[in-house]
Amino acid sequence: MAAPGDPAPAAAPGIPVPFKISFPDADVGRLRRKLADTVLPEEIVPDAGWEYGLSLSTLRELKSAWESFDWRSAEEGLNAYEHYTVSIEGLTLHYVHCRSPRQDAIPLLMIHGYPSCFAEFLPLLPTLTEPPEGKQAFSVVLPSVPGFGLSSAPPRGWTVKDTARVLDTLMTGVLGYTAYAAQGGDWGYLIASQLAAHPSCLAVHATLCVAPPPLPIPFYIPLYLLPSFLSGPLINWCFTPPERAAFARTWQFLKRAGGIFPLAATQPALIGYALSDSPLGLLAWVGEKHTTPLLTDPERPIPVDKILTTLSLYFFTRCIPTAHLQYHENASSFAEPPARISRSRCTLGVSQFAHDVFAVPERWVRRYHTGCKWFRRHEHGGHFPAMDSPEELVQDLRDFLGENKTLFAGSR
Amino acid sequence: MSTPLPQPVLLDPASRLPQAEVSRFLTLLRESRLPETDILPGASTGWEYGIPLTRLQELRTYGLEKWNYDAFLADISRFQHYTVEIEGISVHYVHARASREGAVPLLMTHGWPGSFYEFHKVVGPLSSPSAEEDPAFDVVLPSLPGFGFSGPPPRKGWTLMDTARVFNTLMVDVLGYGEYVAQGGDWGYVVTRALTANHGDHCVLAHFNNLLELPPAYHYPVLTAMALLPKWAGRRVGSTILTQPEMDGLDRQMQFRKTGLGYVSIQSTKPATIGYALVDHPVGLLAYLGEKYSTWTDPASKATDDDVVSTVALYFLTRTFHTSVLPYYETKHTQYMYLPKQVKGKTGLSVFQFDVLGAPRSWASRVLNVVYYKRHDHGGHFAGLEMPEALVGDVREFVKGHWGK
Repeated sequence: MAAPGDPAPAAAPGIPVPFKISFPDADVGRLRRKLADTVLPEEIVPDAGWEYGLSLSTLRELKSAWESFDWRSAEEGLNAYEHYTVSIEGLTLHYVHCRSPRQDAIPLLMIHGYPSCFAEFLPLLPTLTEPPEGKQAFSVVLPSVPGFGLSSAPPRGWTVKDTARVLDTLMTGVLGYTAYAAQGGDWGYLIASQLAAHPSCLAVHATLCVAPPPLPIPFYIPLYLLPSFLSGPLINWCFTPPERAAFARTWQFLKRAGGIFPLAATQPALIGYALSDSPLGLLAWVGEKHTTPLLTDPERPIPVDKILTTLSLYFFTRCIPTAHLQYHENASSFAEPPARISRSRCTLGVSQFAHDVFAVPERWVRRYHTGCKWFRRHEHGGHFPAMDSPEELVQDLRDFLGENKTLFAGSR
Repeated sequence: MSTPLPQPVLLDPASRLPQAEVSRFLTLLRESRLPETDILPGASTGWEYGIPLTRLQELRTYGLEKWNYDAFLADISRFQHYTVEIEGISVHYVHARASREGAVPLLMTHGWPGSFYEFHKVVGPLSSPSAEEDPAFDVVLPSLPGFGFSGPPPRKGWTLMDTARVFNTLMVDVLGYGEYVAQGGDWGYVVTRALTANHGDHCVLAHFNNLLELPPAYHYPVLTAMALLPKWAGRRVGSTILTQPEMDGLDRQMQFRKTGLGYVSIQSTKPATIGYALVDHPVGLLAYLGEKYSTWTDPASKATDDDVVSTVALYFLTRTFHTSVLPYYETKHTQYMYLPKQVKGKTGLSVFQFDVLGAPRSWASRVLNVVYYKRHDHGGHFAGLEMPEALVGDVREFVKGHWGK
């Protein structure tokens, strides 16, 4: 939703307007005061740890860090890249654009998920756009998904298909790329999987891919209900070791996580308004997602300054209500099978990170998405690989898209 | 009793609601920036997306312009408040002794997002009836552990069955009531149900203003048929086991399950996340708790803005929102819906048409000795606030007919 500091709307549909992010001093001061005034609670039960959700000691640390966070310096860092807004279908879409000087650079659209933002990919831009000699280069576009941060809020009924269409217009109609690759995890993947249907999107790279099991879910329940001397051999027969780990993680997700999904899908304004204008609310709700063992690698914690950049952007742009719209507006599609990336439409590459919220066994992905030509599993990294495993992510993009570079020959 | 129990200590509510905190509450209410626009254009016309922005603005405005702390404090100070240490919890309760001899002890247990304050309109009439023929009650209104002026549960794994045991100790060992009536709705129904199952020697009469129960086995084929058939046919089939109002109630429940249970999902999996997020945020609590007072109630509800803002103020000032959601995590329906049947004792059930919880009489009778069942065409989930006269009337009628018999 529109917030102070937003640039004026684009001059005409389709013409990008450059701008620098600059939130007023009053807002920065206000955030600081509200943080200082916040009183943290006592622990919900003694020794709760992470069992009951967000750990209080993590919350305390994050709050302290935010109190001494230098927003202006972070803002300067964001402005080292080129920001634009453009009007498409009546929406104001924000994006960062970094064109590579290399002739054979592949245009790459990197789409953030929830509760993240474009900024998670920024540190990768230099090495993606100007890699060492001999490595594949990319021209990178980082949009803010409608409803998040610096992009405006979508109208009623807006689904991932609509976001995909607008992003395709951005890449082709506005920026003039004839072919491109789309990258994403979480909601970014759901949007990218819709982009696969657009002729100019020739490849999708997923860091969290969704594919249904070959058999209906009830068939797999016995694997976890049988005593282990029976289920063990069955599991070994069904899955390879990495797949077993993936399935176990998914099973845990189905049992324990997903807590926000029903609430956001049925009542986005309830949770959205309740968290509005509240640094503590953002620390707890958004901060938890960046620190919980359910989504993160304990050996690769997300750098705190990156979390705080996201929290600050969410606070200044007041986007927390509209950030939940995706769950509600796309709710009916979750009852249907996920979008299938087929060979004829698009080439799919998947990087799977072991500590992500769930993980689909490789065979299921390849079986369902016939366009899947490349799959790599990492035993490290979690839900935000751009922040906790940037080198691996960059390497995967170079390997997967580099292998398929002939698709993009001739596109600029 | 081998060890003497701690004595109750008189509590001055003002000591738990200091003026400085009240000022902070109002300052935060004033300085919070509500969203400038609806989440979507036109969303304020309905409740499809959650609480409409206009309703939230109304509640905030009420809090700033009309709500009066002194009046609220005076209201709750009409009765005596106490705390007593039981099993490591500082248990708060209001004790409103009856105006005459021979009073019936009455334990009333609230739920979420309620509080002892839910009963502020019924305590007076129940303890001091104006009519000679109406029974008078010694009313005991505790705050659930983790709510209001009670301390939090002392450990992980504290369930409402534990709370029931503590409340029974309060009634029997601390207050000396060998037999008593227990009344409850929402989590209060779970506590009351646990009292009928585990403390039937003392809880001789139980009154519920809502409850969830499983149907008797022979209902399942009919219910399945109802689910599969078109509505007109399903209703015909259903009428063999249920009344029309009971079927209306089930429809309402089914609808609620589809769109209204999001809060249960987050609270039952990550109580600390939602708890810490909102505990220090008055406007957030107005939205998150206030919504229930609109969607779980009769559209003609007499639960006022004052009731809502006072309840939110209580949650904020006592800093209990995060512990208030613990029951969703700690008490699983597999525990409370499979309690032993009521053996000793009898049950009365009042059903309010707009409630989102409510069991048909036959389902309640499966596990409770239902001797009194009254259905009201009005009222909803917060019976004490919405239909105080009806609740008082039902409790009096039920008790008059069955206490001491």
